[in-house]
Amino acid sequence: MTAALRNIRLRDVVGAPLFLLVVLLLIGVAIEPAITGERAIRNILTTATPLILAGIAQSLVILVGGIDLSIGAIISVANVVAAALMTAYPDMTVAIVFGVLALGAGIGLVNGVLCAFSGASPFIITLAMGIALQGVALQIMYQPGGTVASGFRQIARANWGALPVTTVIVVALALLLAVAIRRTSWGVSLIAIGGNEASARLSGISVKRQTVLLYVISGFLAACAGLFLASRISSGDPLVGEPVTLDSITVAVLGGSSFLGGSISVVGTTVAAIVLAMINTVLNLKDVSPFYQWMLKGAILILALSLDLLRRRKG
Amino acid sequence: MSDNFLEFRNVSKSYGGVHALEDVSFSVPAGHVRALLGENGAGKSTLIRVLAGTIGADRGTIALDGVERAFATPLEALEAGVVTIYQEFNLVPQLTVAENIFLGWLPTTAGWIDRGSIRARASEILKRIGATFSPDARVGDLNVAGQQMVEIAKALSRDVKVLLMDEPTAALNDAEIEALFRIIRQLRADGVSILYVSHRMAEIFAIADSVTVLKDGRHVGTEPISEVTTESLVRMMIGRTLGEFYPPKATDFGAPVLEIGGLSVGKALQVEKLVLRKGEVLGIAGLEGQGQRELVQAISGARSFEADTFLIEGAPVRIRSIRDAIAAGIGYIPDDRKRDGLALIRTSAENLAIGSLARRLRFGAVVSGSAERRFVDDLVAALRVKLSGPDQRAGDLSGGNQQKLVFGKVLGAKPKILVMAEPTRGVDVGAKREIYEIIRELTRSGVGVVLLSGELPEILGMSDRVLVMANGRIVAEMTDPEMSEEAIMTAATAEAPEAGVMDDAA
Repeated sequence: MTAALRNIRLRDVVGAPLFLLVVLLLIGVAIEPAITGERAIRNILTTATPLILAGIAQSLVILVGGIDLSIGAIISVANVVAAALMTAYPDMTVAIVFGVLALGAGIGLVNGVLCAFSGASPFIITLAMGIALQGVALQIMYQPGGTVASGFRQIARANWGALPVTTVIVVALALLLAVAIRRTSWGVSLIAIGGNEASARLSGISVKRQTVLLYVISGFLAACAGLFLASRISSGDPLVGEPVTLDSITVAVLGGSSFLGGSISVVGTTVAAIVLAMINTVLNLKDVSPFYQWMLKGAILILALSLDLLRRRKG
Repeated sequence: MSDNFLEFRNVSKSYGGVHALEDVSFSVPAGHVRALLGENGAGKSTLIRVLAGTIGADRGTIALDGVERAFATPLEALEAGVVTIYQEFNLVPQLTVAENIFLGWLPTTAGWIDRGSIRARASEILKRIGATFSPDARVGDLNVAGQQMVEIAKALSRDVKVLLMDEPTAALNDAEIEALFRIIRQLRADGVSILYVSHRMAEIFAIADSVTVLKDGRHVGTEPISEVTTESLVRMMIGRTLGEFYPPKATDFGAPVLEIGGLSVGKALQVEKLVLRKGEVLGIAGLEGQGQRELVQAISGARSFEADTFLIEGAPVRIRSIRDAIAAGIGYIPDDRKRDGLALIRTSAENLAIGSLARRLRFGAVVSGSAERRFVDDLVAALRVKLSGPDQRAGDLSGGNQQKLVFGKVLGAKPKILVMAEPTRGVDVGAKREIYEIIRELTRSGVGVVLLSGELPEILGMSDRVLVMANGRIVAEMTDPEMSEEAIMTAATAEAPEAGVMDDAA
């Protein structure tokens, strides 16, 4: 009995797809042993950090049966707004950071309200939002540029040994969130909404309020990712978030989220983001064309989705 | 005050001009079990929804202990002690039994769930209702009966003053039903007012103190249980006796039109032999989820299956898809007409024509507009579909007229065999009768009908022969003299699975 219980917990926390991730990890190490070096690990984790943020944002929205296709564009907007403002007002970095976080949350609020109250599909709403925001980002800064304060630059560059400080903080928060999902009434409410919305509503859970809240969180985390990228590249890039939308879906599903709703693994998503960053790094080290990388990423997403379907059919 | 703890005062509710409830008034004392009876569409579900706060009444009020209440949300009803056990399961499969029981009001300390506390309290409730599974089991891993027990446990976890039960025994076996009745009696002794909806007469006589009958949204009467009989209740429910409600049955049948041997759908269905004769209505009965659905879906090509023999009019056919089935002369009327049966946003004419488009109306690749119009007009007239015109959107029709469209769509292809699942679900009484007439007209012309229905009166009133299913097998076959609700229920529950046992179907 206790053994069975322990098994269930393990699956809940890590998610069954962990197996696939370990396999991908081992393949990566076998192809390019250099990635186990301290610098390579640091590089991979730094690359992974915005994706961890975006992946968690995406998996929270997917948990309640939604999707956020505007994550990448929010990242880009946050990134260029931060870079543009920091270039113009170098002394106001702290205020700009808070302003950009509020902007991300505000965009999420619009997404959330539309998704919860309009009756239109989140797919369409967030797709439209993403396209509009991409236009905004390009309007603000049509090509990469701007500069950020040197103190702000250090955020993405501070390390504890092989480990970037930001990554450690993000992973720690992810772990806390993972526990909160299973152990707080808020987390259980979210699973209930995704698992059986009617049941959640009849139990007195405010489905709309939670939906709005999750899109706000998604926008906020995307803004965090945009700021992190501004720090990392020390400037703004209106297309920096573009690939992240698809990647965030890939890592959410690889991590153990199901498009049917009701399942999430924050830890799995985090690990998946790191593995995807590792794959990117390996391919870059091997000088593989980015076009092949796109094909591979698409294939990985399809593989992950197929595994998800297989899992449901069995379970 | 306790003589009318729960009162409905002139409650009315209509949907798009159709009265679901009209001026319904009655009261239930504290510590009393009231059976609520009525046909499908009589207004029972609407009444329950109004009381549970999921919909608002148009007029009228509900009073609890003399105080008028209007529950705007389910939560307000729950907080007032009005607890509902719904017919369809409202559980979250991904959560544990304990989490489901306390969903919406999980006890927490600083936001963190008191897992020890919910597990202990859930265990206690589960023990009380005789459930054997653990509070830590995932609800998705329980079978249907187990999930029903969780529903009951969920209701009991609340401070119940009024308990609404909508067909709570549909998935339970005899021992579980007995355990449920013990709980109901205990709650009654504690002063709870209970509204108990069931179609099973035997249960109503076993548990209810009195019975309220609704018909066409109106309150027909409330009687002490000692004053009524099955016959008098049926008369109150349908306004006439059963014999008058259903058209006369067939007296003689033709040759077998369908003969199936060794039919199986995975582990869900194992049927050794099934024969349907021309002009016959073959009823398929049993508790929910015993393979009936798989059976009708297999016959109609909607689900893949294995069969040793599959003969139509004595000739072997291979059915691998609905297309094959239609070509072989099998028509299928699915139970969820909104999802499977109709394109609701298209016109009635388009819906009717689509069923036989491939065979009838195509000259080369082009549909002939005038031929389609004629074809549609004929069907509409034959089925007495009430339309403002052939261009009326299917979604705007009443349930009965939508169902007639589904019939028309299928009949346009001139089937020899008609397989139907719950053909009168969500259809008002008048249209129900017309559908029964249509079915009988078809059998008189030699069509063989397979009728799956969860409504026993319908099975009894329409079938020339009944097959009772349990655990994916046919466990009994009955014809008219021995056919009765009791006989069917006895056969259906004789080998129902045990509650709480994990399904190994995966």
